[in-house]
Amino acid sequence: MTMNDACMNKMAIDRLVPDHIKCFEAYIPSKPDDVLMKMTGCSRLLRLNNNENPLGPPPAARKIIETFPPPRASVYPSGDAYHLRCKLADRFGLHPDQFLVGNGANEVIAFVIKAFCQEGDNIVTADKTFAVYEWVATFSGFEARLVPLQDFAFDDAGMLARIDERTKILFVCNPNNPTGTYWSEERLRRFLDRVAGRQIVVVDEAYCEFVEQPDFPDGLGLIAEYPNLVVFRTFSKMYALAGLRIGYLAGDRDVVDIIRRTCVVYSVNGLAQEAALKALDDHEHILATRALVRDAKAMLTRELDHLGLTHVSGEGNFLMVRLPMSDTLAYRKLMTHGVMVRSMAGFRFPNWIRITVGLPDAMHALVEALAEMLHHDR
Amino acid sequence: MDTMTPKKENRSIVMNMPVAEAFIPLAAAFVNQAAQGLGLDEEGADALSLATEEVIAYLARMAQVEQDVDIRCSAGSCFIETKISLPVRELQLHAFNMTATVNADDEAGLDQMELLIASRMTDRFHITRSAGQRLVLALIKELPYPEIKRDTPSPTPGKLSQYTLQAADAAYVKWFLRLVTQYYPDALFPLDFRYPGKVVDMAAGGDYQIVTAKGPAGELGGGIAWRWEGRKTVELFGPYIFQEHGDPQMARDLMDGCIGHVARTSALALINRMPTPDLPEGYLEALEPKRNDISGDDGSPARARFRMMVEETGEVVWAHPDVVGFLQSEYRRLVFPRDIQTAGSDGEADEPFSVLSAEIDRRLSVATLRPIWPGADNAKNMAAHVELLGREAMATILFEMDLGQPWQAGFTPGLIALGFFPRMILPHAGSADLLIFQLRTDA
Ligand SMILES: Cc1ncc(COP(=O)(O)O)c(C=O)c1O
Repeated sequence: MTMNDACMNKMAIDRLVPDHIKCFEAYIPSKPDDVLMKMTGCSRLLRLNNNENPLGPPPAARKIIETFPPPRASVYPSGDAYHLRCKLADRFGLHPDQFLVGNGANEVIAFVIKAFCQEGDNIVTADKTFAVYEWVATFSGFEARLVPLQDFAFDDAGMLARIDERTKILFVCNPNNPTGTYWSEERLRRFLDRVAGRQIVVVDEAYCEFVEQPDFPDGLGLIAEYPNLVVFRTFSKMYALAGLRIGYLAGDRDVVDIIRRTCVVYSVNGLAQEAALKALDDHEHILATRALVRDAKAMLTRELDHLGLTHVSGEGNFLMVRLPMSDTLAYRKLMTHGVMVRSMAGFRFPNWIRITVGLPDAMHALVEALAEMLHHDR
Repeated sequence: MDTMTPKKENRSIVMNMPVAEAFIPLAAAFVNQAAQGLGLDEEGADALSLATEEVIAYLARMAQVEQDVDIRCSAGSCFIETKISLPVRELQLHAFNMTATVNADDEAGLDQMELLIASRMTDRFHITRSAGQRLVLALIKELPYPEIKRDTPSPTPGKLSQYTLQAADAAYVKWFLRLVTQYYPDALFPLDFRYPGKVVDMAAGGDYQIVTAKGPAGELGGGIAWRWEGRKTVELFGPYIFQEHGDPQMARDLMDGCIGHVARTSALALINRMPTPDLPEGYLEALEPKRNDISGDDGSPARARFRMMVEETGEVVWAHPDVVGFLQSEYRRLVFPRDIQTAGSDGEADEPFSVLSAEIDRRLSVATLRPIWPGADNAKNMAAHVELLGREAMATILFEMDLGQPWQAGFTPGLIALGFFPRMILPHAGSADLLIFQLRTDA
């Protein structure tokens, strides 16, 4: 091929790219620990940025991981997570066909959007919430209508007001990442009543297992009454299987039948399916994690008060802190102490960071690093 | 607030033709009519087509083999641009130095530098090498706009106890500009702000975004503006607060609003070259080092500021030993994890001829040089460019070095010998960070 041809080919490729892809930038994931430690010159790295569970997977799931027979790696897994779906059905009193398992809840977000949106359609969600609903809609060429949070919480009236005849899906993160606010069962029901089945309502319950409030709704229990309700859950957070990538959605059978048409079969590996299945049974693990989060949050909020920092925490294993400096600068400074937090400009909370609440040592290290950073800044 | 994309696509008309003397009139006629069709006045279209004639004539005389060029005329929000692009073999590249003449052997005078002549007929001119090794010559003519009238001052709105942030429509853009130009010194807003029609067009085309704080009766309390610089950087102007003693809460809300719009786009960094006294503490960091050793200061007391929009993950940068000290101290000050590797000539065989691209903005009298190709003659070539740009009355001459491209480090000794100093790092503005050199004005 001559250089001329190569030029022409590049130009031709450019013409193939849709405008909404041209305008979109790929997500930049953080580098692996070893690379980060080398770059920042620190000897340890505390990951307090992804809301992982530092207790690790429940013992029964650990066992599965430890004893996974290598020859099984050469065989395809169940293409639709058959056993896991049966287990979920059993556990939550639904039919196995009401579940779709994905490579993390992230993957099922794409399934739902692909299933219901076509050119000209839109989705409605909040401006300051988990980014992936907005991202998937945008890079798929659909409009993401973003409704500002009210008092750190999803604004039901605001969302309803943005619905038009091209609105297909409403995404509600309950409890909300990053603010920890949630809609009570009463509020969620009122919202679903007002939507009256005209749109799909997705309730993302990625952090529901952390919530201990009596008025917190059980989305799965509402599906029978609201067939347009789709619930997301994940094994990444409470069940500490983030590295295996497994999450799921549940909904009315007819709705799930439609979503299934867009789903990628065999995207969930066998080890993840089995570990998740075992993890579901371990209630002790949930109690231990909740206790850890409760205590660590109490300690952390006390220390943050000490440092004179404003913080917002609700449900979930994370809290937000407001800093007197740019969040991305704070990120870089804390990294020099080997502490990795989530900078929140990307969540449209400039000068806030989000901290995953975890083990006492990590919390102490964080507080120390924060104190030193603020001291230097003064 | 809805998902924002950087910018709308421009309307454009394209022609492909062989590079030959015989087709020069065709190119000129095409550009003239396309430019007028896209909204440029006759005078502007004439200038653009004359510039095109110069360029094509130059290409025709230079070309050794038959070649095609693409000529693309597009309407930007406030300008018409003609882009002439062609595949160029590396051996031919040096002919695209601004200082080149067709006959490189005789020391031709400035009047024979066709590319320079073409640049004089435009408002902005640049030569770049695009992906796919095509060379692109861009000739830009701004649409004419009347300057803002500053003789009838607008009354200050006074303190607003309630306001909402809103994207400004045309009427509010003009009101906003009237107040900015009235209450703030010229050094704190871009030149564009003196041309309200232009900013309205640019805002409509997505080139500027302006958000205002609007009171319940429609009063205008303040605002903030920003524009994209490429795909990765957003330049922010303001915040501007139209109240005698400011309004820190409004300023913070405007900053939050701007950052909220820019978040989740392709922007990696937000920069503010003209921070106002209203800029709230803690949002932005100082981009430049303190400059007490430097003459040629532009007189504005505030240093340029910036913030990253994303979490910094660290990378390798390449630099000549002469600037490693500057980089180390700057990266330490900015707390950027960087692995600085030294690069430069170790006596290996060099290409003979270097190539520089020049961008000339005649309105601002700023010229920016960028290296396109390394060569043994780089110091001489840069000296020739600097001399030429000096004669073209460019007040500021910058050199942009991409620290992600090791070969660019080779230009450093020549730059320093000519009186350039490393002025600042623009994080992630190139394939890695850009190091901006500036020519000392007393050099
Ligand atoms: C609200 C929310 N939903 C979904 C996810 C995605 O989880 P998964 O790891 O299952 O893809 C996350 C992860 O951060 C989350 O915070």
